[in-house]
Amino acid sequence: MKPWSPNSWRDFPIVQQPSYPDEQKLSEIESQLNSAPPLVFAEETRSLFKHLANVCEGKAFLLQGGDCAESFSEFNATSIRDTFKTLMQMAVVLTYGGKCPVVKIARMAGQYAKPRSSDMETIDGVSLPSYRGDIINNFEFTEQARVPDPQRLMTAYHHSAATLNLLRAFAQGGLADLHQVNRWNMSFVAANPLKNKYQELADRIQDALEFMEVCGISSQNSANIRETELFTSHEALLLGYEEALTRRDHLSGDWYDCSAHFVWIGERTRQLDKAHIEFFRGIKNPIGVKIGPGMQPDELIKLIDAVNPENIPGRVTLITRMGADVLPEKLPALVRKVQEEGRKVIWSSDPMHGNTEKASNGYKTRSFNNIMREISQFFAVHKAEGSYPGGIHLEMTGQHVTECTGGAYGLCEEDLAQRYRTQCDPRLNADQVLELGFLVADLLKDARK
Amino acid sequence: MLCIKNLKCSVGRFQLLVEQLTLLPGLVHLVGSNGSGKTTLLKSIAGMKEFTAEQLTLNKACLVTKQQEFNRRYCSFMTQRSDYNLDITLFDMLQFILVVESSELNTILKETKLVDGLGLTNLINRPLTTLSGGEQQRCHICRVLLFAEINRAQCKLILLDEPYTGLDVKYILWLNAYLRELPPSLCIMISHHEINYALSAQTPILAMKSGYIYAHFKSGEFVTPQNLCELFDINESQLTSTRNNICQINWI
Repeated sequence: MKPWSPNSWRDFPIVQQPSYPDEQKLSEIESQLNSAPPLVFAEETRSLFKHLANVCEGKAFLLQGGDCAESFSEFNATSIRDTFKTLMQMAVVLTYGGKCPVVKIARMAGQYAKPRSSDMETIDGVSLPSYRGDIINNFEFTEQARVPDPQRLMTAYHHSAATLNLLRAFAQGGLADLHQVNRWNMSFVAANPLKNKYQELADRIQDALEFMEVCGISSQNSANIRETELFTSHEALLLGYEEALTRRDHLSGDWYDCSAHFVWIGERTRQLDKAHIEFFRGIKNPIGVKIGPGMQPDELIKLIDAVNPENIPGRVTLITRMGADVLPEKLPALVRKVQEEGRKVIWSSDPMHGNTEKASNGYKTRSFNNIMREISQFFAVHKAEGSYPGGIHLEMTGQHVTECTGGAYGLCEEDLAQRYRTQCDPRLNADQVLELGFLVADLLKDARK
Repeated sequence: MLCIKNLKCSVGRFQLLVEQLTLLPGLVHLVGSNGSGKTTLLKSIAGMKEFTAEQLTLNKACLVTKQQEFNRRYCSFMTQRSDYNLDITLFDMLQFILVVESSELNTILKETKLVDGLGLTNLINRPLTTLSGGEQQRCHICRVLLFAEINRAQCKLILLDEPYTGLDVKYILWLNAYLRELPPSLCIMISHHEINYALSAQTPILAMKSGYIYAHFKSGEFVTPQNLCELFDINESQLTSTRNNICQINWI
């Protein structure tokens, strides 16, 4: 095998990349990014690695969530704050309901590139290049908007930096105080149709806080109550951008992709002989790999070995996205094979991507029931195979959008038009996320018995 | 030695202001009417309240910090009880506070006199919520004193906020005897309403009124009838004095 370097991926075939008409400009922007400050610090990434090693050993649970794709037009403090709050609320519910520490990774501050099923999009007989995320081109359906623009890499970098800045402030500046988060939960509980079920957990959290206060521990003197650790992640799809933000850590001498703490390889780009695997094998970040129903057990072992030859716990998270109907049939063989071969991985469920459907009124949607069904089956398979269901990966927002049907409020297809905002895939709204949190907490508690 | 200078803390409309206070090692009784600021002072020292201070030091180490480990290592604090409904036992609580495995805690419990002395041997594995108010109070006293005992090298401050509440005579006497025997290097602040005991105990008394330090008496002998009347808003006719000429309050 040839030696790895941040740009060695360029010698391999690559998929899902845009064709830039102005390559000179692209090269200039990448060069500027290469000398810009990193977005995250290697030591933070190593801290996440240790937390994920605990998940791998069944001592913690991974919650990863955020927008399907961030967009420049929706970039504002309110949106960032609401998604942060929703993630925190769910983490608290999982921690107390599931009786388990939760590692929190936001799918934010860099989730600007999207793989597409087709290079072209056709509307009313007009075909244009597909929208590939705001880091590449514009969502607007015009010829000019769809041209890949290198300047967008720099815009994405600055938006990511500003998002990270705000997330860090929220995490350490008091917004993540457990008392606050539980107060939000209380207000959710008061308005929810499943009030009684949820009231109990919110009361228990309140009791725990009061008990700690009696023991002399409050948000004023305890960072554990006042602050939280939140990490960032995105799909490392656009490798020119990722390469430009890859830095050698002076302490360890290792290379880290400093665009986020955690990056993942998509289902469409994880081919063993292609560029993405080459890039990922050299960076020391903890990484994720999306696994669809087409994955074969032997292929999975080869994939794991390609990116984690030393079998280090916490390095690889396998994010399964199969669909509620297919998962019980496909997942057991993969879990069994990984167990037999002794590979140390985290299994996480992405219940979103395999459950996308088209509503009768034309909206792309997902059903809350199917999402929950896939998660339940994910837990059931792991229970049957004696493996640990280590996490969930959600496309979600803190906004009260109407993109996924179902949930306690009974959102139906007719409601989708009210606040359908996504530029890509449908996301769970704040109420649906929290409801999911309570349901997953029950499964987690059972899995850890 | 605990030193405080210009400590300010607001709780709603109430304001605590401690301009200057120096407490030497040993036990000090913290007395005053309801709402005089005793709990707010103790919680501020324990880092549980937001406050400002020009100085808050314990043996020259600064306590004006939000670092949990710092405060918790140097200080063991017992708050007044509040209602919580957790399925937790004394054993669980001690594990949580001392951050030890159960085997290690079992070893600690064999060596300490606290559990037996506080009559908790048969209660240690019962949920706290099934215990009486007095029994729960003894559990919390056990927690605070055991923390100080285990962390003796670092823990130099014990803060007890109304620990006598709910205790019967036997355990009040036991607690007083235990506190008297603690190493002389420890600062112990104990707030309570057992005024006659504070006056006769021959230990310093810190008296609070309306958010201020009213006076810091060397012992009960220095407290005048006028002081008691001003402090507790009572008449001189409600006072008496013992043969040692120490002022006492009648009928309590």
